[in-house]
Amino acid sequence: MIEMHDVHFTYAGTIKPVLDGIDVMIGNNETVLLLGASGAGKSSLVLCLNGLIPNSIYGEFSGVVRVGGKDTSITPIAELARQVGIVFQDPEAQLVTMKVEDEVAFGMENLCLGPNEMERRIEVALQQTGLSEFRQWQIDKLSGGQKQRLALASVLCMQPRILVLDEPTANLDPEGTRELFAILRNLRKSGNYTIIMIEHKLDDLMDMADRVLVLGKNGRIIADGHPREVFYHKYNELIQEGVWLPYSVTFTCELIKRGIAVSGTPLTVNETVEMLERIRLTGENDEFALQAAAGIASRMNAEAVNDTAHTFVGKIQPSLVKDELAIEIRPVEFTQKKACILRPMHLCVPKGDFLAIVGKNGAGKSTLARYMIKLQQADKGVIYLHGRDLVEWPVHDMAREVGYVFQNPEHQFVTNRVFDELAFGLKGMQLSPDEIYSRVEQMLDRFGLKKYIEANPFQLSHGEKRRLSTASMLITGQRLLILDEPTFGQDGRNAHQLMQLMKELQETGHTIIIISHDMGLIAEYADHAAVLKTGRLIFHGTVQALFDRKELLVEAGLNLPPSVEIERQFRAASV
Amino acid sequence: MSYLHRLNPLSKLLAIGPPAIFLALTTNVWTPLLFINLTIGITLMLGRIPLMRYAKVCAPMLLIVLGFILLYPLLVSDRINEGSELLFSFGFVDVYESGVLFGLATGLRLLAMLVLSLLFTLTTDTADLIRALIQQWRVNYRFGFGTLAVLRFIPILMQQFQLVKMAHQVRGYTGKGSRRIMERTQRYALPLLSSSLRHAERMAYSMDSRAFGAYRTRTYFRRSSMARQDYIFIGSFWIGSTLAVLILFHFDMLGKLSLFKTYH
Amino acid sequence: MEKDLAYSKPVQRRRAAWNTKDILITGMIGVVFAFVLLAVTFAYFPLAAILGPAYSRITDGIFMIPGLMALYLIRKPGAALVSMTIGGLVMLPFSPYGLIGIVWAALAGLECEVPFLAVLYRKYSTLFLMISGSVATILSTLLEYPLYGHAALSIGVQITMLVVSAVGGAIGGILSKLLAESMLKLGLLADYRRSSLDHTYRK
Repeated sequence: MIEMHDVHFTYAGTIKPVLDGIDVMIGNNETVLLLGASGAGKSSLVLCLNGLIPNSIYGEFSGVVRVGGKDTSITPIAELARQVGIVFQDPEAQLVTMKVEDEVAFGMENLCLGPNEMERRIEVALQQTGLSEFRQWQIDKLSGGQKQRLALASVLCMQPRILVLDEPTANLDPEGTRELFAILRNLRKSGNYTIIMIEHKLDDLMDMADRVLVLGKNGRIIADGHPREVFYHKYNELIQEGVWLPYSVTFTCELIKRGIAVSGTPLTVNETVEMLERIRLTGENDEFALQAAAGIASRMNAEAVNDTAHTFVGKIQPSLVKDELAIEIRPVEFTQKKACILRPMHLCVPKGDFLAIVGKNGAGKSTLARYMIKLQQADKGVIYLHGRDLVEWPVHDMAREVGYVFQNPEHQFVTNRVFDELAFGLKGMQLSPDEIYSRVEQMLDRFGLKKYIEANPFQLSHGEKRRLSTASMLITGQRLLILDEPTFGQDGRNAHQLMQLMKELQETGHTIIIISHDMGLIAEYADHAAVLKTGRLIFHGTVQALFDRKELLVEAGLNLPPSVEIERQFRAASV
Repeated sequence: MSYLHRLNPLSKLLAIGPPAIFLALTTNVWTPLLFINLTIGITLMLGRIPLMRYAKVCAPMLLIVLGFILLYPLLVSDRINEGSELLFSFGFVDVYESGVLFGLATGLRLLAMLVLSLLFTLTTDTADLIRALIQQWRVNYRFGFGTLAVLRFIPILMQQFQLVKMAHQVRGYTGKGSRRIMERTQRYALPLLSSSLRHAERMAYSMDSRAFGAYRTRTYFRRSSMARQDYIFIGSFWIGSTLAVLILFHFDMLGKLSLFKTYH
Repeated sequence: MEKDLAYSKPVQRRRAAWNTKDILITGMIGVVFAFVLLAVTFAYFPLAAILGPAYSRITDGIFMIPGLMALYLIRKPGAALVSMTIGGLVMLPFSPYGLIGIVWAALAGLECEVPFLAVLYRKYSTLFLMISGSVATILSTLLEYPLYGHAALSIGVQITMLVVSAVGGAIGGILSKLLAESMLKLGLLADYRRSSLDHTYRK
């Protein structure tokens, strides 16, 4: 179906090839996961499949790509578009028209199909993606998940044999992700499609994937085979490379590293639990295995499980412990002046806490965070920062006290040099140039950015930009740090590094608040969770307590991370 | 949806085209004044535009018109003022009647053309216009849909602008002071321009992979066409304008027509 | 040798013709600058009141930036026209000039094209961008004569007007080049680098 022979590609104006000798064959109806660190060239590889490379994107290309026996470099785009359909990461950047049915028709119009045929295919495609009832809707009224399904529908109607999905769920909340995966599962079952997917939410895909391809930073395929083989044989290499791995794999390999005899190579939660069962039945490892399992499964939360004193809902007398609180929100309307989606809530964040704000897209997570840092003005007597009404904080003092890291780090850059970027915050603090220099250097060192001290912030890689913007938010000694989707668009290694750094900060007395969809990371790093649903705070307590409330998770559109699921299931089985 | 909103965008363009060209040639005060009143009436009634909204859109243009009326008497060359009555003299500035009339006419002429075009812009969806242009006036579809795709980006651009503003605020960056205006512009321009160009690039890949531009033509699921009401609208608008001109001519209020307006 | 062959394989559209990306990038430049230009338009009114109609023309060059920048990046005939026309379309609902605005924008696009047409779209140096900016703004001032009746102004005012707008145009030319180059430096639009950076990178 797809053949790639010795494919090389270098973007115009760069020296390092993104693809450096790719040799791959992908058969009919295979479902392939394409993995790799960020910047490894996964997207470029995918763009070779429908001829965009080398036909529309210039650079130095060599080698042969054949799709369905046709050489992509000489086959007209229209013909390839009938063979290969691509769904990209950002739903906004792939929808052209204003209305749902127009969008589905767009591709078919390009293929010059007749109106009757289009009508028929629109109906089928919308049905396949569960969007039939939205046919007459305006696109901007759809949710992110629906938009992404629409993007899929508009590709399906061109009846391709090969479906390519380039991080389709990166912008979606857990619910949207689940729905999209369910559709893909059905498409796979129909047996009509070869599916190639770039994705890092691997745990939910392990039942689907027939094969894993790993693209290395060197531009070559560094692993290829059944997921079981690839993940277990190349575990260390993949970790080094920075690839996201399914939780079950990490878990099992860590067990092995701890010297526990493991039988089997589980990929899913169920398989892992079964494996643990087997270990327990062998007898000797019993207690040890259990401890290790629980220990890793919720590394940071182990103590929190038994520590109910940290559950703050309604327990804290604000007047008594005012000083201990980083943020306190009192249960009155946020503002009388204009409409606000947030309902009155009582939320206390103690100093030194690690809080995760979770909920569906549009539940008001970012809005809440913005109120905390005065980007949205709350009325007097609603929000208190370090025991003082936020309204009374001068903006400058507050900026030294609270840091806020935006989803897109580029937005925050205010200078043209990495050094200046950090020095900027120190201006007006009456420090000597030497003092400024040493502080900046120290901070850059801590974030692994020292070698870029003279670089332009915009020229850093995505992960580095994110680290720089985080560093710039700590330079004046901010004690409270709010991060909006800190792991968005990052590869596994960068994400874990950043979260580890946050954890260290917490240990040195900082308060960390993150907004995230990644329940796995939250289970691993956060202490407390606040769950929002349509502007209401429906839960605030320890992360473990949240995972005990199944019905609440469903209500808020969240899911149980595999780590917790393994732990719970195993514990239930052993009782 | 008012009557004007329902019309095909192109019929509105066709209707207001000839009167607009004619107005560009006028030199006196009465012709634009009559057209301004008629057009505002039609727009407000047939387009169901609230008066306040209309006034808001018009306000900046009224300022320009005022500017012309105030400045032109001072700036016009002596040729025009020759033989005209001196209204008043202030130091070395002499204000003549013909100078004032010239400024007034220029201002009103601009206003008249604006008001005509508002009839179109206030009642037309840009996406519909592009669709009609592609299908009926054979505008190159690749450019048409390209335009449509980038227009969809506008709300996102607005959002990002707000985000950048917030991000600056969080960093305590105000960039205040008129000397910093270049720096401040740069701080907004770089992230916004780079993210929009990146967006355009991705959009292009997505469209290309859906066979956009693969053939010289393409088919359309929804057709855009002229209905009877469109022809009726164009016809009556033209007839109405002609009648207005004839009436002005009859009462000798049309004034001279001129392309360059150097002499009266 | 083999690489070169693969590189120059025939594509569906000739390289000189517009591809989808060119269209979208050009359009996007128009869209983004539409808002900048709207801001400038509104800032122009008080400025014109203070400086008078001649000296306020210093802002003329800014209006040419989207056209010049698109031409500089895309380097294909019509880039300025397309980007300015789309910009005009965006401004349509907000602009105080209404429909005339889009005609004006399209004309400004054509004015940017004129100097490049004269050299068959082969020159893109800073100096040439300054010159084309000046030519474009002078043309645009001349084209205003029928509508605004500039001919009625005294000769001195007319000359100042033209000179000031030419200076403004040159400034616009420099700014367009700087902006385009900074975009390329950020690693965007890898494709277009072929044309703007020197050829040391490409073999």
